[in-house]
Amino acid sequence: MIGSSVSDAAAAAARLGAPTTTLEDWRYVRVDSLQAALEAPRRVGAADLAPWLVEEEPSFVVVDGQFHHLGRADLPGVWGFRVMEAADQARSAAILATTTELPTVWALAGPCQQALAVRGDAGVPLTIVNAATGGPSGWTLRCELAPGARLHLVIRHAALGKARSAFRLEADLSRGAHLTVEEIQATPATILTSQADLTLAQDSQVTWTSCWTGGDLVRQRLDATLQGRGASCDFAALADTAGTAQAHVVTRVRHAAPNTSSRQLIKTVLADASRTSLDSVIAVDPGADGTDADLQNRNLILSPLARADTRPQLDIRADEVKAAHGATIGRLDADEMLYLRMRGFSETEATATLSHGWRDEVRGRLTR
Amino acid sequence: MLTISNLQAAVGEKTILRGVDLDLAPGQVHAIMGPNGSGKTSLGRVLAGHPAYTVTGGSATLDGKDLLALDIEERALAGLFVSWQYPVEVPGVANTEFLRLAVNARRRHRDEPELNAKDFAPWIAEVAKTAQVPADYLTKPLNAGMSGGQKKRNEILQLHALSPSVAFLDETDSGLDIDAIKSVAASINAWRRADRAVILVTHFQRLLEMVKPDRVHVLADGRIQQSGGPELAEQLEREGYDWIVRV
Repeated sequence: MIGSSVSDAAAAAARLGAPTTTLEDWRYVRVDSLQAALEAPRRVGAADLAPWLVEEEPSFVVVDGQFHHLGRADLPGVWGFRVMEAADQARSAAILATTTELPTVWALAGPCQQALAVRGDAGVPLTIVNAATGGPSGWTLRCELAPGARLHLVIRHAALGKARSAFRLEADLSRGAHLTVEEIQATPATILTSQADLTLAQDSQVTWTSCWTGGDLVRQRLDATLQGRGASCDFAALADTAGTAQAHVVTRVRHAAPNTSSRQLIKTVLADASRTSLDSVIAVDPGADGTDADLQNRNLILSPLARADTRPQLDIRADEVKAAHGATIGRLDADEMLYLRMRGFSETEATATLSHGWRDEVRGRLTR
Repeated sequence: MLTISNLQAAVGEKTILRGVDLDLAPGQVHAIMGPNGSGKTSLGRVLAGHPAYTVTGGSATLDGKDLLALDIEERALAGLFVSWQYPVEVPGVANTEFLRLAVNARRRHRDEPELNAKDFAPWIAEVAKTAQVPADYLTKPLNAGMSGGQKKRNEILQLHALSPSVAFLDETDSGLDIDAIKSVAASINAWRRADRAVILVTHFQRLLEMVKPDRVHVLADGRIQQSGGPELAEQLEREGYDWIVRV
């Protein structure tokens, strides 16, 4: 079983490749100059990774595209890890898979020299640390959810140096499966791209929450295809940027079957001269009647130098569809500021409190 | 305690206050009544430092401090509490955390140690009991999803938590049912002390039967047109404002 998963994953990796910066035009950034400034990769120790690891929880760490640290195998929830030989030496694929008694099969592939097998209780969250110390690196996590399977991932992106890090997650959800992903960028990055390709069968669900602090260039792209009747995708992202950091979110949600639903909430808080953008398309295929889609983009500008661009788009080719989208770009509400100041908050404290509240609508979804 | 002399203010080109005089002593309750649009709410806003208003003349001092020279938050920290007729909803901010931050701003101002969340929780629960406000208000977002009456009671909770020396309560009784008015009145009375004073803006004598005023003023056309004892409120209840505004 694991053997076939290895080869499937290697094939998927070969097909997908690692995300690259050429996927779209970068509106504000000269990637060449950033790439020239990348540092050489370096060795990291446990102390470097300590802030991102919880020893009592199942986890593994990838540093610069290589397996680095495997979590404990004796934890409640029966998570276990086994390093395997790579099945595909040409691509140096690495594999992560669960056993057959659990309804989940995962595969991980990238330019690693190892393969990794995992088995465990799909109800227990698995933390994955994607750390980058320097140079370009990338890897792909492939998740196959069997009918009714549940999978909860906590992905932490950690920048430990000037690096270009590309992360891709590909997930196939069978009927009734549920994938929950919490994706957190803990430190500003030089170049960080995160790409998700999700395929949802009948009655399957994705609940995805991302929190970004931005960097010289941080880009998230989420592609979700709702292929089965009753499938649903609930996506929320927060870009909380300061200084000259940038964060860009691209989503493509395709309703390809009847009675599918999607909810997207993308919020930003921009301080200083930071920049964010959203480029989003909700597509409804012919025959996907009963679609219920909603996209909301709310941008909070804290500085006159900050800039938020938004481009929500609908492409509807079915008749019986409920689709809504809205985008706002604004400053903190003047009445809310006044109310807090009349209760003794300084302008700085009021700004911090109100913008914290703004963030919580997305951050409150995180469990870790 | 609070002395307002010939206070004049405008919004843009429009004059709102045309010379208000009022002297509020410690322990006193003054009621301000008057027709709609007479400047009652504006008086509170001007005292609080609302940025829409420009003070064009006169003065206001609180315990000898020039109130009008202070920033908005400095006026609050100096001991002035001005309630809102329609308190703003702030859905992302938890009521308890808002109160803790506001209380700590005062404690910092007084060089007192701040309260952490663990110590604050039992303290504010006791305050809520004293203020006769249901404990579940503390778990809600600030004013969000509350009825008009609940928002008013939430402001009374703030009054108890923040311990100002002067409370300007702007139509706190509007939107409240009879039982809620009784509860709010009892809460205001529980807050009163010899070193604290209240300005009650109201349209109805019912609240003044429960929170007894020392003085009643009629504000019309941006000025105090008439002042008297509690009997003035009774007369207004019977006869309306016409006889004063005509004078």
